[in-house]
Amino acid sequence: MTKYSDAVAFLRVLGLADDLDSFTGRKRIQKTIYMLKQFGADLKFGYVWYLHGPYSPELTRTLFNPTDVDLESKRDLTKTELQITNQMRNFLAKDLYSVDSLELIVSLIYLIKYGPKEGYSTKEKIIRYLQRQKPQFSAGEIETAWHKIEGSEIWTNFLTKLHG
Amino acid sequence: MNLASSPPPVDRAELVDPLSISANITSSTPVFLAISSSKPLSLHLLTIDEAIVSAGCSVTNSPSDSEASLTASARAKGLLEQPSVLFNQHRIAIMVELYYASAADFLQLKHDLDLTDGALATYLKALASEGLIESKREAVESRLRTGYIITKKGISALEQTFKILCELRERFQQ
Repeated sequence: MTKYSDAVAFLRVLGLADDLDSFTGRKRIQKTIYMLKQFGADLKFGYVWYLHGPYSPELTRTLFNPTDVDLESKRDLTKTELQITNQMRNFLAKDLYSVDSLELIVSLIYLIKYGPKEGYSTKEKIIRYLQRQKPQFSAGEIETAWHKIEGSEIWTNFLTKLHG
Repeated sequence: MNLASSPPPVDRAELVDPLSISANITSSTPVFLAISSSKPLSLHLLTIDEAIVSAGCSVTNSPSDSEASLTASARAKGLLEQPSVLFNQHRIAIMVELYYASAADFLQLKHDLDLTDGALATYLKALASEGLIESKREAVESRLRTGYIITKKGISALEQTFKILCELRERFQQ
């Protein structure tokens, strides 16, 4: 099995595997894979912050330029992986189908996890930074996304480390 | 070789000659480090370097002088085989952004690269005509947006170009 077949197995279950060559599909896939990793999926794609949010160039290389071996390998999700997928789907709910909402949630999670190491150690600092990077999102939208993240236990450890 | 004519803000940086990229940046250097401090930083420098490293910059052997010059000339010739449309600072910046993000819309590229509509459209058309990117017009949140994706050919060409530049840099440093 390859990283490609691992990712595609998840995307197939989520109904996103046919979107590999669409502009919105690719945007959604970048964020969805990130979220799956948050929920415990063993998808080995590294993410870095690039201009507006976390992206994985490795995902671009793997998913959108597959080798012959990649294309021939195919697998189904395990029971555990299906549970992970369902947990993520339940968490995101309708946001899974909104590229903009996904982008906002994923960016906030990344900043909550890694922002403190770079001096963004409070909720206010993180939100201020995000608003500079993503002026298209209103304060209300950011607050709603923040509450959604707070509602899950996955990021509790990171949230409690924030000052204030 | 500034990407923008005005002083770059923290997150919109200069695009430098890939051959002059600092060697102390590794593939594990988080790009976040580059954009989160108040220091003037060049994000594109870091990300291009990361792209180069991730594209397979791993020249570890030390050939003799004659071998090195032969290899370097072969590498230089290899550059000639890459799509010439790539050798422009704005077009390569577009490619790097699409390589990282997998997809980007026109407005985002325009903002990030500080280009006029006309200039960006010209660059995108040139890249698309070589098959390195594809344009897509799709509904996003009930609005029609023109987006761009990097193609298989584009990914391969960008990686190959960076790989050659990286190997040449290694030769220069030896």
